[in-house]
Amino acid sequence: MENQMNRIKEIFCEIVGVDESEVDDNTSYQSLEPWDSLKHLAIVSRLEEEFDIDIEMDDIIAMETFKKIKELVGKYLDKEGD
Amino acid sequence: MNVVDYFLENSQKLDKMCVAGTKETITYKELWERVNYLASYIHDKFGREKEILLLSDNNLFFILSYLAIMKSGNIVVLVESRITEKQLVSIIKRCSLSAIFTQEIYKKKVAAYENVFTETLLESLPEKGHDIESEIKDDDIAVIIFTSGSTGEKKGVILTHKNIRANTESIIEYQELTDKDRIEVALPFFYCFGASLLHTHLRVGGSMVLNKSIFLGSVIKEINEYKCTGFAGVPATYQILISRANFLEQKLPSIRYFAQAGGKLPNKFIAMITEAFSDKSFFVMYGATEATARLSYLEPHLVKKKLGSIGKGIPGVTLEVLNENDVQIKPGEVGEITAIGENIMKGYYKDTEETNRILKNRRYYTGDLATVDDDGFIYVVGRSKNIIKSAGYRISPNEIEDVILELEGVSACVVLGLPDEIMGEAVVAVVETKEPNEKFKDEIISECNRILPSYKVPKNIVFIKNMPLNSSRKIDRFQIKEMMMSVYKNGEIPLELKVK
Repeated sequence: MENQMNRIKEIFCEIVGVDESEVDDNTSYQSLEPWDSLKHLAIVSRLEEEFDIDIEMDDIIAMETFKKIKELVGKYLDKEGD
Repeated sequence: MNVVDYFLENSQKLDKMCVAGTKETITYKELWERVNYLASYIHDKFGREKEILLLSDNNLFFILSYLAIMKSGNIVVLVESRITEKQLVSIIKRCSLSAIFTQEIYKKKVAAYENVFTETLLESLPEKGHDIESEIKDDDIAVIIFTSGSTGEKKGVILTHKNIRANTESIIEYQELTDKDRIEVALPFFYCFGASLLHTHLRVGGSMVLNKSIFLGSVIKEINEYKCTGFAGVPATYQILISRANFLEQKLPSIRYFAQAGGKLPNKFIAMITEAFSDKSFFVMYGATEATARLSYLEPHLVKKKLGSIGKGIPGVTLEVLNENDVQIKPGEVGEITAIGENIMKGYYKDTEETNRILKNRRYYTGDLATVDDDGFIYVVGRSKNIIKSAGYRISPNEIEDVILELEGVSACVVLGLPDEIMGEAVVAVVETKEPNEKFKDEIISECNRILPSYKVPKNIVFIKNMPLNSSRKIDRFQIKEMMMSVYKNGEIPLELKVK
């Protein structure tokens, strides 16, 4: 799981265009300016591709902090493991 | 008449919601009071006819500041909120700003400047204003919108109080907007299409719900929750909703109409939407910041019959397609779309040369190429600046894009010309798809071969997962061209273009 969480951070930082040191659990859509709605869609697409999951609309809306992204993607990965 | 007095002429005393929704809301009565408090503060501090920058997303701060600056007889300078610091500095240098109104979160971008105001000013204002001289001349400047030019350098479009009033009046008329209308706003107000939503709904005393979510799909919930009657978007808005939010399976019972402008939505998507929502009106429209916002619309009942057309000029606008000798073209010929009307801008900010190039005898030359049918309906075929010159032919990218867009698995397409020693320019297509592979590439080329003359068939296809979009949410052709040029220099074109 830890590897997957690191991979989420790598993808997030690569798309948003920020250094990994700038992102922690508290990083939010409101506080991190380069994270805009278009980048958000790109992040969602990449995560879906990377982990072979389909993220539901309500979850895409709820991913407003980096912590939430990890939790919600984690939820899908848990389901896959069942 | 001051355009703010015009907007709120009939609605200033209403005790009904102007901005509805979950977070910030305001009634018309309160809006009018607060605009007046802020306007008298600005007037006392800076006088009149001063340029004041506004840097904000859609929220109450934007609406109050925008209206108060104009009401005080000053000029709003609008830029996109997520503008790069480099571009912002260049604009600030070009302008003579007296003050900057910025949302707190963007304050650091303008830290080096004086007279910066944020949301905290609104909280600290005295709950009382005084009458100010808000009367202006029709030709006084209300707003300067900095918009991306085709070259990358931003141009300042100067709009007068009269320009905004004229365009607002026309849009209300053809969309039949009333105080019963409530719009779900997902377009930024700093973009002319977004601004037109604000203007028209204020004037009729309708209401707005401002979408602030990170994901566009949330508009569906908000439309249902707040019973919105209208929704407006650019092509990307509808394409994202269709591909990511099951848009076509929704009922949206409160919705009366959808409006689309800001570029061509591929016909197959127009057909899908009108099919899925046969009980609602779908307005296909065309416009430009230089025309305040709107220039044409296609009457919703003609959408199927005239599929792909931008319709005809809106009330008050003479929209004509002219050839090189300024004569109206015959059906089937191609010419440039031109417009005359009170909504046409005063000119570009501090750029007489460019102003004189596109404004001649009160006529605005849009730079868009179009043809007309026997009934006078206009069909855009391309940008005059976009024209590809290959092997002695002048090729409009749109025709090729339309062929490729018809293919299953293609969600967007941009055709452009790249330097080629033999051809002058070689036709290359950048295709958005989820599954890039060599086989699909061959399929696209063979479909083009089947339908198009050989000189129009792309010499190469490059795939991309997500098209880059600009701040107006349009496909950023400029950036795609730059990306292509950078990979092209290194020799062979890759199968897939990766967005950096």
